[in-house]
Amino acid sequence: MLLAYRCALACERITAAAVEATEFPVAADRHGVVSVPAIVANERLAWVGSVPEATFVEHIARVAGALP
Amino acid sequence: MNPLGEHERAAIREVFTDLVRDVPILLELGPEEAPVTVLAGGREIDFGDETKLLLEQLTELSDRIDLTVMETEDPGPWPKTTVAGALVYHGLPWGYELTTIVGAIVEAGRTTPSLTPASLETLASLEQDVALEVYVTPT
Repeated sequence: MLLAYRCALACERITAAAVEATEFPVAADRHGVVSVPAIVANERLAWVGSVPEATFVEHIARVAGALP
Repeated sequence: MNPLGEHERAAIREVFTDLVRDVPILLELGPEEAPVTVLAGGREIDFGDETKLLLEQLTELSDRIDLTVMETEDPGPWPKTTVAGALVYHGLPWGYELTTIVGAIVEAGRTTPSLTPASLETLASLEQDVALEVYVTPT
């Protein structure tokens, strides 16, 4: 989660919110969350699991269309 | 429930000595999706009340932190905590997620980014907005 926060602080194009899945099961179900951490980017489940910083940023860049 | 024990308070107070700028925190409370949960042992917990208590305790650990609490009657993803106007947490940041809210405060209290230069360069090249939601659990 901290990586998401760091990215949001570093880039105005990024917003970051943590969602406690057991308190918000409807939202978690809507996105197909079955394990955590699950990262939803622009309303779509993007990836699941902790990843290194470089991979995390790469995933974001791909969502933003900056990478193929 | 007392969210923070003496050992945790001391450790977090030490971490907060790294804050070099003020960190405002906004806690928004309202009708909750799951207002009360019964834990093992039959004890009930109100997520909004517990979040407020936890944030009040964190605020006591640094003069750099300022907590504002707002209440609404409108339904929404409450409790919602916003650190420095940007870093959002929906729910009670308890268990392992205590480190998330403490980490958010620490990150917001820095003046230099903690990402690598390569990451910053990649993020600077983004031409589309990205809204991240990270689903977490306290265990």
